Formats: sequence, structure tokens, C-alpha cells
Amino acid sequence: MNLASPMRAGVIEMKEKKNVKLIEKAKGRDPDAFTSLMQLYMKDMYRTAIAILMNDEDAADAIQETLLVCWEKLDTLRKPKYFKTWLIRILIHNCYRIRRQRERLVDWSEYKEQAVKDVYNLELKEALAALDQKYRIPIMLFYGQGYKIAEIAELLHLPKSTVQTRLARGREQLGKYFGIEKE
Amino acid sequence: MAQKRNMFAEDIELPEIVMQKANGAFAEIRMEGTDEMKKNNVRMFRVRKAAVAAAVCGLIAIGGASVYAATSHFSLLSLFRGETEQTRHSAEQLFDDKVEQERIVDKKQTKWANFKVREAICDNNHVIVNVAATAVEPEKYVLIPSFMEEKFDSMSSIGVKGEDGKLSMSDYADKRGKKILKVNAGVSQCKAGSQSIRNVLEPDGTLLFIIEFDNKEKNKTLDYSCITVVTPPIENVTDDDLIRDKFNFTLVERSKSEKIRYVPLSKDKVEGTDLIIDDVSFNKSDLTTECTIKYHYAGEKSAWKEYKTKDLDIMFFMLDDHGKIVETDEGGGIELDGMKVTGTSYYKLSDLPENITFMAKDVCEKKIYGKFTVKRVD
Repeated sequence: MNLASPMRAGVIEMKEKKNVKLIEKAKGRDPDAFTSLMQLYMKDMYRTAIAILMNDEDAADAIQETLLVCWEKLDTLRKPKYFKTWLIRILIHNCYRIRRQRERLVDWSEYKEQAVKDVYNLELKEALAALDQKYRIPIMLFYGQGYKIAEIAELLHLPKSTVQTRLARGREQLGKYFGIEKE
Repeated sequence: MAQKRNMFAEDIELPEIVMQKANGAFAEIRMEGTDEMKKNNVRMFRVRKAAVAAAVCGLIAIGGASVYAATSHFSLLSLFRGETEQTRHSAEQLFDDKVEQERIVDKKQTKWANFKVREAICDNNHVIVNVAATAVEPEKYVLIPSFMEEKFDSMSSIGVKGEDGKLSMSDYADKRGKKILKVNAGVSQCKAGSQSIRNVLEPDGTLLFIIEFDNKEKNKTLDYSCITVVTPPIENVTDDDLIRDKFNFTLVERSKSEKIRYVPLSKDKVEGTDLIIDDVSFNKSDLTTECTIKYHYAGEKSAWKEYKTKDLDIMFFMLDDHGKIVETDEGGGIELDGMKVTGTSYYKLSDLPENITFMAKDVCEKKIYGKFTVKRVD
């Protein structure tokens, strides 16, 4: 008998209830509740931002901007259970905006080389760099954060079939990177 | 392979810069969360831009010859150095270095630093304000913007060149036997969606906040407030220690502007997209040309009662006679209003032709969709 699963389910349920309380408090313009809430999602935000921007400084800028936008727009969030999806969507928007700005300023290939200067999470960044840009974000959302295909489609404003195709092609590229033949 | 994929879900270490910038945002949220700030609709530090190199513009005459002043000052006019002669001339006409403003009276703040709007350029489409902060004891303190991190941000972030520019802000202060004093300034009561701020540290220690935003007022007299904040250099500073104040200032918009409307030659969807163009108009002022493209969605979204989402990546690019993309200026964005979408961008254009062609492009994937042409309506 596996006792771990029901216990884990209970822990997750408690965590979700705690999150909902924090969301409600944050909606009431409580900066401390908002800070505690956002700290729970910092790593997921970083994973998402790095998959698009591929450098820590820009990821930090995107996260900073997202925190400010979320604070400002939190009262527009109707259902707390969609908080994370709402947050990640805002973050993705900010990441794309920063990319657009950078694309205007420097050649994209030069821009990617800036990532070499980073010292954090190198293994992860190397694996992401092995993927084409359009496969990186679905792969990260799917494997890194456990989103379902339909949810990724919603987040990225893409048809489900496109997300499926991108995941499949991303897997192929990862297979090549890790030197593993197609499963 | 499955094991390798798990690396995407493995625990990661948050880079220090991410934590620092997040903490900066949390501090800002606490600051904006005050009733006074909310009442004034303050959105101070939205987009951080690269610093501009301080340009010498002050000339002093000694013995009949003009030489550069020992203490050089940045001028907003230097932002227009690369522009056409006509634009530079227009900027000079709109340049105001005698901005009508109140004086800061909060004794607590003036013990540390003084703020004033040193100059401004106000155009029908765009406003640039230069707020100068000076330390009361410049021999003791180096001013830096409060949203920067002294250990991570280098002096080049605030326009310092050469070897000093490579130093972190704290190393730069140590080298001079000074301490860091954090200050901040922003404009409130402007209706623009965002403000961009860049900073310049002048040789005499004056820290400039060069604040730019789209002019959404379209009035001739523009009343704004400047919010100022000093973080006293004490250990374990809390939000309660921040010294906040504000002062009002007035800008007069003297530019000439002309509205020109275009209509699309076709009412069909832009090839490869679900977008139908309704109207294109330009507001041509002395310094910039604002282009607004109004469109709506066909397909699935046409059944909606109100648009809640928009295509994040498809943008419209104006093409020149040779089919090349005309470079856009800073600012702009996309707004939703019921079933209408308005995309705004800014250009530096001298003339507007009879017909203009735009191209739809997914800027992230660099995928090019169809083109559409609009015709001028007289």
C-alpha cells in the first residue's frame, strides 16, 4: 500500500488552500501577501523566462516587470485557481516584448552569445540552447512545469495541434542533443 | 531520454540578479501601495532604458574664446543629434529649460537631496522630461537610482564611460571615499501606458532621470506631478524610512500637428492571419509621426462579445518604396476596446505618400504573413 500518495495529495491541497488565501489577501492590496505569493512562483517564472530569453539579466527584467504588472492588475483576476496560468501568460508577454526590443538593437546571434556569460543553471541552458526557439517554450512548460497540451495552447495562443507538433520536434532535437535515438 | 527530460523540472538555483530585481519590484510595490501614490496614479518605473552618454552642451566664454565648461551638463537636445536638421530644429523650438514648477518643501528630503525639472521637450505625440537630483553633500554621497543594485549594476548603467564605467556602483563610491545615496523620481498623472527612464550621472554628481512617455493628453497645457523619493543611507532600511515628496510642474505643448487618414484598399483578411484592417491614421507632429492601425478579428474571435486576448506576436511594419521595413521609433503598443484593436507605433517620417503598404509579421518566429495597402483620404 502506498501511503505516500494520499499524504502528498493532502499536502498539495493544503498548499493550494494557502495559495488561495494569499491570492485573496494580495487582491486586497496587501504587499506582504503578494510578496509571499510571488515567491512561491519565482522558480517557475525563471524557468519560463530563461526558455524565451536565454540570459539571466533579461529574465530578471522580465520577472521584475511581471511582478509590477501582476500587482497592478491582480484585481482583474476572477478565479484564483487560474492564478498561475494568468501569471505565466503575463510573463510570456513581457519576455516577448523584451526580445522584440533586443532584436531591434542587436543581431539575434550576438544576443544569444550573451548567455555564455551567465554562471547559473548552465546544464539547463545548454539543453535549451540545443532547441529551436519555438520548441523551447512548449518543452519547458510541458516537462518543466507540468502543463497539459491544451493549457500550453491556451498560454501561447496556438492551436493544440501546433503545440503537439512543436513538442514532438523539440523531443527529436533533444534526442539528438543527448545522443539518443528517437524513442 | 525521459530521465534527461526531467532536467527541465529539476530544482534550479535562482540567479542573484533575479532575486535582486524581484526584491526591487517588491520594494517598489510597497512604495506604490501607499494611499498617496495610488491617489496620484503613480506608475513610476516601468521600462528601464540604456543610459545615454552625457553630452557636453554648455559653453562658457573666457577671454573671447568659447571653451567647454569644466563641469559639463547633459542636454535633452543631444538625444536628437542623429536626426535630420529639420527635426533638430523642431526640438530646439520645443526645448524648454525654464519649466514652471513648485519647489520641494519637505525638510526631511531636502536634508539629503534636491530635485527639479531641469528641462523638457513637449510634442503633440511625445514628452521628454529631465529631472535633476543633486546631493546636498556631494562630497559625501554618490547618487544612484533606487531601482538599481549597487553591487550588480555598473556605473555604465548611468552613463559613466571609461574604466569607471566598468566599476560596480559600490566600488565606484568606495574608490571616491563616498557612500551610496539612493534617490528616485517619476512623473505621475500622465495617461501613457508606460514611461521609460534612463539615467545619467553628470561629472558634478547630479543624477538625471530622463523620463519619456507618449503624450496622451493632446492638450496644449499639461499639468504633471513629479514624485521624488530618497532612501536614507541607514542600515536595514525599511519602507517606513523612505522619504517621499512630490511637486507639480506644467509643460506647454507648442508643436504643430496634422491628422491624416488612410483607408485599406481591400476589406479582406490580411493573408495568413485572421485580421481585417479597418482604418489607418497618422498624427504628424514636429518630432514624430504616430501611426494607429485599427483592426478586428475574423474567424473564431469574431463571435466573441468582447476581445480579452490579442495576438502577442503579429505586428504591422510599414514598408518603403523598395519593400524594406521602415524603422519604428520608441513607444506605442496594442490596446483593446470591445471589439476593436488599435495598434500604435511611432515613426520619424518627413512625408506621407498617397498609398502606404504594411506587412504583417510574427516578430518572435520571424514569420512573414501578407501585406495590405492603404490609400490616403483627403
